[in-house]
Amino acid sequence: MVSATDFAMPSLGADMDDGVIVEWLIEPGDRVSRGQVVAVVETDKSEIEVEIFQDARVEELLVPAGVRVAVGTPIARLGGVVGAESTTAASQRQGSITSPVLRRLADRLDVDQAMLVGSGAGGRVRRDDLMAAVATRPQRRLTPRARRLAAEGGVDPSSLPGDSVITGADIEDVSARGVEVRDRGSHGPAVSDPVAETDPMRARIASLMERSWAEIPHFHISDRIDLTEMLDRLEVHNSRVGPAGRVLPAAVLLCAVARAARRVPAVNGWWIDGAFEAAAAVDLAVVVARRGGGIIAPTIGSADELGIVEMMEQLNGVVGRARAQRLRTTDTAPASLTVTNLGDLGAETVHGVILAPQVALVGFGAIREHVVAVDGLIGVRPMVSATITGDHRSFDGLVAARFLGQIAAEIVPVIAGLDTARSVSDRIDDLGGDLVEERR
Amino acid sequence: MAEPAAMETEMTCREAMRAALRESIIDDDRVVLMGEDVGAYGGCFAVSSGLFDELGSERIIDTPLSELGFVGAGIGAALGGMRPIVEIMTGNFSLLALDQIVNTAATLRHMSGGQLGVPIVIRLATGGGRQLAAQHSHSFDGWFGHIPGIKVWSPGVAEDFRWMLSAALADPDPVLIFEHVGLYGRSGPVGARSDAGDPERAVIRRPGRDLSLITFGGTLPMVLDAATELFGDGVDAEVVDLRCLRPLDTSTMVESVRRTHRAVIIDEGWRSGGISAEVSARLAEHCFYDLDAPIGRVCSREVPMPYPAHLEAAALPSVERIVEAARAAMDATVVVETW
Repeated sequence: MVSATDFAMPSLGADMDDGVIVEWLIEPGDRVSRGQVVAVVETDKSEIEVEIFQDARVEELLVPAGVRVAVGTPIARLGGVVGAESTTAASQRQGSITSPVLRRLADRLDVDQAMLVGSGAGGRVRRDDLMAAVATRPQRRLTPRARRLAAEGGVDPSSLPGDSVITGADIEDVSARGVEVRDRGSHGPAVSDPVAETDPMRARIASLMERSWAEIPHFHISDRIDLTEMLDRLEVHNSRVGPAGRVLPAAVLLCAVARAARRVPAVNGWWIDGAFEAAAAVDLAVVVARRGGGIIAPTIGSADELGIVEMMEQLNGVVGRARAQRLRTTDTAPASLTVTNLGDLGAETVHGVILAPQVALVGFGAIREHVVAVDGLIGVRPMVSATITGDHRSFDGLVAARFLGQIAAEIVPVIAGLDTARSVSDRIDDLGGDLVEERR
Repeated sequence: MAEPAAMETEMTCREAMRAALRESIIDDDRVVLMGEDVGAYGGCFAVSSGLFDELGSERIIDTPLSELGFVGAGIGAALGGMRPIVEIMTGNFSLLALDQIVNTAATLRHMSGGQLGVPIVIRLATGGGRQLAAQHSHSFDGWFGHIPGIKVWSPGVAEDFRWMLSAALADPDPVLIFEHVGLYGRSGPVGARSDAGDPERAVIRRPGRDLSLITFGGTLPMVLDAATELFGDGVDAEVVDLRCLRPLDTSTMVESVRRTHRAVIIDEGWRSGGISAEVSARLAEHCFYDLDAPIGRVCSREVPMPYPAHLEAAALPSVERIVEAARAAMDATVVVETW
């Protein structure tokens, strides 16, 4: 028998002072297990699923949904570990959608949950099922003005009810409601309104950038990295796997940065109280541009230990969650180094702003073909411009240049594992072919 | 010298144009009126009635039935220092004079390197609705709006009938004034000349918030009626009177649509390749990202104008069709006319 303990509002980021419990996913009497998502909490950044870190029984919810409380405030009382019981009441009342993330996403996308077909175990609805339902339903028609206003105001038109043509007035209504919700403060269920979240995010970006720019003496060095071999091999790999198994160049670059940072530890850590403090692991923050405007930088933990396939999965996960504004607790862990990749945006070079207290930021531009000298001849090579932005208090150009060189050196080895695995199976295929030939 | 109207008075469009003709001829020795039956008969639509007796045969000149000839004579007079007003009985007959208008009047300033201007004013009765059938009822206003080198004005209210003529005579280049026959008998207030403003600027005849009804000339009264009917249904339509088809006042129509986000164009000409197509294209060019509905058009049916009254009415724009198109625009849809 374990005595009762309190479960407190967690800190979901260094700059979080308080949060609003948007939704409880547990009830008194439920048995919860380590890693289970028990509540959805809204911070300035986004909605975050809060996980619990012990096996226990829920005795009492101390704070109702909709209330803002400071970090550290007890929000639930937990009892001792109990024997196996049925699944939580929360999951029982969710029908075929068992994931709270998907349930809320379905609400937001206005998907009729009764119409969903689950392809997961026991007919559970998976994310793919939900997205397929969204993709196949009749497309909403927007007038040119509505499309412009939606883009300007960060309004997601697919969240609008009904199926008639969406006009500018409809978007203006949503924007007006967003303002109204913000004025009401943190109460009420409308906190997930995308417009209501836009401004706090902008304010947060503003204060972070202001602080970084004021404090950090930035310097930049950059170079182009030849990606010919990496892209060739990736093309081979991607042609052999299904769409789900495809690896994007962005994931390769992330792996390369993480491994290079392990070799050049001076770029991986924080400037705290006038001194550099090296990080024990390479926890990479990845800058994700949100469609409605603003950026968010979820963390991929221990990125230097990830294989390329794992990295691709992690990247897909954090990008999807960041765009849906539903980060997990682990996504908000402090990062030791940040990567921004403009690839999709098509710009050549980025000179970014470091996220204090980190000391470096790696920026990649679009991959483009350039005319270059190759072995004394003129060649056309796909290249990416990589920029190391450094905190000059913490390290100098030489370290930055070594880091940049190391990134370039790591790129092909990152996918070597991928290629080897594939080539073995290819060789088996080839052998099989030979054997068939011999038998004839 | 005739005194300009000091106070606002009510008069018909016919009376307004007659007053303008009389004033211009009395005020300026160089001005003459010439055309078929403008003199002794008083004009086919009685616009110049009484002027022949008052002003004499040297200022009100009856011409032979030869549009090519008397328009050419007018151009020659203009080149020689006169300020002729040439009346073409209906716009349909202007096609006989196309060569003089398009190849001579519109081009001489350019071809002479600016040495020769043609300060001619050509007045043309235009439009249908009077059971005059296919050779006397068509609207070619938009056709002439296509041609650089001339100006094309289209009065829709009595005030413009009263004041556009003197502005046209003051212009150093050819000006065509299309006068819709359905307007001659309609009356309206006429104030001082300064109130009429620049004839090449479009005017908002009725302000509204919900959609822009863009028109000119003969269809203006029915568009205003349609706006009144729509207002009863809770739709507040703005009515834009283009007044001038060349040069087209793009900014007024664009500013209107930027406010209302919806537009329906009403033109008595045919739809295909007409001035309504030009207006629609300019709106798409300038305010695509302000539109909340496809741009609608109400034009004459694409047939030669029928003679029977019920068929002619069916071929011409009507209040009913304008209201229908406006309602479609409010629903962000469009009535696509197929004939």
